[in-house]
Amino acid sequence: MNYYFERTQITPLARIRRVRQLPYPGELAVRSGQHVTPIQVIGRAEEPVDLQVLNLVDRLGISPGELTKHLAVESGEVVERGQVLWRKRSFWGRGRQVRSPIDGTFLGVSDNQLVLQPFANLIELRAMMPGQVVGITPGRSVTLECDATFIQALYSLGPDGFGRLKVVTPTADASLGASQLTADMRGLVLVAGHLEDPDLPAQAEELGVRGIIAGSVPNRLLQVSKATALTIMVTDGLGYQPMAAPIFKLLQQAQERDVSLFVQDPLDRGSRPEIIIALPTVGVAEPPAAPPSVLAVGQRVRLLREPYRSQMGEVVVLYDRPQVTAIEGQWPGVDVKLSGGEVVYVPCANLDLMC
Amino acid sequence: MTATEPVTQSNDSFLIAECGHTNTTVVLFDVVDGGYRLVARGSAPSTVDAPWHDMAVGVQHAIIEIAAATGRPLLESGGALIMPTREEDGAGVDYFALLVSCADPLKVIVAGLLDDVSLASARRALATIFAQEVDSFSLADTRSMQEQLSAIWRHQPHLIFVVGGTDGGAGDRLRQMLKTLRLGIGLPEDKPRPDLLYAGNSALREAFNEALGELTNLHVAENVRPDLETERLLDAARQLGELYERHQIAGLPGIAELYHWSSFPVQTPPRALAMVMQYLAALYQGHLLAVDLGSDGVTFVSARPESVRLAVHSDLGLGRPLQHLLDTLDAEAILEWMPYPMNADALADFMAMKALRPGSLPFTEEDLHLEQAIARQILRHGFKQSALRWEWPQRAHLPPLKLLVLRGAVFTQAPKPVQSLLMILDALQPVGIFPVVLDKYGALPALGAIAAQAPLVTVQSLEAGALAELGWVVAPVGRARLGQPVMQVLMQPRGGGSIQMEVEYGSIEVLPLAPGQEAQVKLQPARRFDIGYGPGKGRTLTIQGGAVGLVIDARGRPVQLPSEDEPRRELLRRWLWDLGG
Repeated sequence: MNYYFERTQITPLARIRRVRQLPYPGELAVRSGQHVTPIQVIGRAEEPVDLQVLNLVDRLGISPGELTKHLAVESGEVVERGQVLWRKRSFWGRGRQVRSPIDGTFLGVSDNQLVLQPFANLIELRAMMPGQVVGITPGRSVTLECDATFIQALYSLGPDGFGRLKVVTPTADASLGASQLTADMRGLVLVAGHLEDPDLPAQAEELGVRGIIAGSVPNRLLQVSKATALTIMVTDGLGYQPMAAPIFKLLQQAQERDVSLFVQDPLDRGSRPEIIIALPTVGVAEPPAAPPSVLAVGQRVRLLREPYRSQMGEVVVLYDRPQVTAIEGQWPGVDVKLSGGEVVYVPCANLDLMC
Repeated sequence: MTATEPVTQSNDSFLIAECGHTNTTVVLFDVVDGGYRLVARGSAPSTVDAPWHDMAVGVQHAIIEIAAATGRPLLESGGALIMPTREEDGAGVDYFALLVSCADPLKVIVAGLLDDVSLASARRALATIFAQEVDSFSLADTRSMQEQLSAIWRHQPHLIFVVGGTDGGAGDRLRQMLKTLRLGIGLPEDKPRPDLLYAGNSALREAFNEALGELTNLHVAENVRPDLETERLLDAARQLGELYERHQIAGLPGIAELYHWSSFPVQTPPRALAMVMQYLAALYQGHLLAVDLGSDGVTFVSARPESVRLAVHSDLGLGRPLQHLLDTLDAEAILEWMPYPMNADALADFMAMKALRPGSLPFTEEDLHLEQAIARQILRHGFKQSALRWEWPQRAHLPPLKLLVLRGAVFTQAPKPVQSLLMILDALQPVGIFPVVLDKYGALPALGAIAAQAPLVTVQSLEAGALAELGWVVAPVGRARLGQPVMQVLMQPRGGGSIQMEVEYGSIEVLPLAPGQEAQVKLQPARRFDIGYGPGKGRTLTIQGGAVGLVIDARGRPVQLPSEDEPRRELLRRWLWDLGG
């Protein structure tokens, strides 16, 4: 059988469902059936911060019994900085007391110590795509649905992004440099064949560019980009290679439309970054087709390794047995007809099924 | 998974699946001509990740490969395994076993007293599973209690592994640490609490139980250092294995069906490999080393008849770990092994891409040599770390070997067997005389997985040749000027046609001896060279052939590479050429 390792979904129109999840349990701000806009806040959560511990038994030389007996606050109570947490009055009027060093919540007594949680930073979760709420996990996540053009990318950096799409290089292999950035690109998601210029990320961030979709980016530039908050989506490869023709074409067709960029750690259980270009229709499209289980003649594939890296082709011959490659490796593979007409034997492991 | 271990019969058949991050391999053992043999092997891409999210699919694909190769139906039409074997048509198998290495590492905080005593032992125990040490607390830790608490909350470990103190020794320091741990584990209440494994001073078990027993899952193991001279890792390592399975393996998508099929406890390949290596060490009566370079982990097993040591490196591998490997490994050190020019930027791009596409295969000479250069450096680094954990003397040579075993796709998928051999010789630079075998079919952990319940399968399958022989290596120790004679070699294969050769310092030579052939080899090292019997002392021995033959590695130890780029590349190309790689 000709099993494949890699598969990239690109579809001009499909019904897409995406789960938007709070990083920590919190509150949701939408209800089922509601339509949302990309910038709409759909949930809020508090980011946990380090706890504060007060060891009064050692500090005041009191017993554990005295600690709990003279508490001035209750577990779970919100406390202000300076508020008395523990007070022991004396008969002669001069008592002892301990005040809260922070604004936060008194969590309780653990191991004879007072534990306080400072107020956390508030995190807001935005929809980042237009659509309808079709599912809710209380306090945790919202499932949104829309009809959209959908492209799985390879690699991403930065926060999730949203903006108007603009293709800024004439071809799928052309490079975008910092000097090509202009003030009117503020709020846009730019599309380029390749990024190379180390000044580009910082300058794009300064101009207010929302994100950049590129066919390829060298690892060196990605490291530079990590210092910025710019969203970068790589569709094809790290290093240099043109953007795959079908992806470039879809993005060209989506010129001036709103695009959502969902970043993912691609090393996290094979999850892929996603480019979603929502369409005005709702419920017209079908959900994406289930992936085929094996390679078949006629399927469109992208080749992953040199000397054919990033070339597109079509599966033309399947084999029962592994064939010998140019470097004398003997691996299961298929014949692929490249877009230039050349037919080459390619190991199944080096194919990315485009569907 | 069945609660009781099955009693196997002498003619039962066994199907064993190994699920890695990138590849899933299934092997079938059955009785052929009165003895157990590796009958067939199937492999398929792993399907634990997107878009499948079901590891059983990859196992079924690999089983379909076996069914196609043997003509023996193994799956029902709905995909369920036919088990036991159907008497009427011989379809199915009698037992199924599962090995899993596709789970993420267990996140662990190690807490103990002395870094070079109890914590060192804890790390050796931890090295027997796929684990990521996210933090450690010790007496040398200068952080405040609050900072340590923050560390627990920030890392959200699966496990806190506490060691320290000798049995009967003072327990004040550990009691102090217990207070911090109690606080850290107990609050806040809305977060999952880490399990705690205690393997320290046995006198404090009750104190840990009282303080933590109701707060979290507390596990107690034998003290890893009952006294300063004794180390007992077995119990702690066993419990770590169980915790790894519970936290990381049991939740893998699709594993429920495979659990249902499994006749034996699920194992990890490193532990199963260690088990079978100990059997082999008893057979060979000497020191054996196994090296497994996978996509998401590297394992070294050093086995002797009386003991086995295991070191698993979850941060190394030819898949996802490549993304961050250049933080650990020096790019120049990798490129030193490249016979072609390449710059550090191109290397970084290549490694980042390989991390994203770990299953992809080299298709050009340059890509092939680059992957193999990275593999060399990963193995060098991993082996150095393993030797440190095992407290082997630094700067000394690898202890003499009776057998070197290679596993992993970079070896089994190398287009030429000699490339695998050269990779390991460059990386580990072993000395002496020893054979090298390749676990080409992925049989070793499989045999380890069922060794306890079905020892006959393990013994007979290994005897029947479940491993592919690469050949024998002779690597003398000594120094000379380049080109000076190091050794006289006379090889006389049974059936005639002897080969005589003078091997020069700085060279690596191969004398072909096909698999199944046997030869008598007379080795006479020069006065200052030692092949394991003392300087200048020769030996005549009988060796078996392999895919490569007899390799004489006279490049010296450590192998010295020219510092200038082009002469170094020229030398690497010459060694490859000389070996036919």
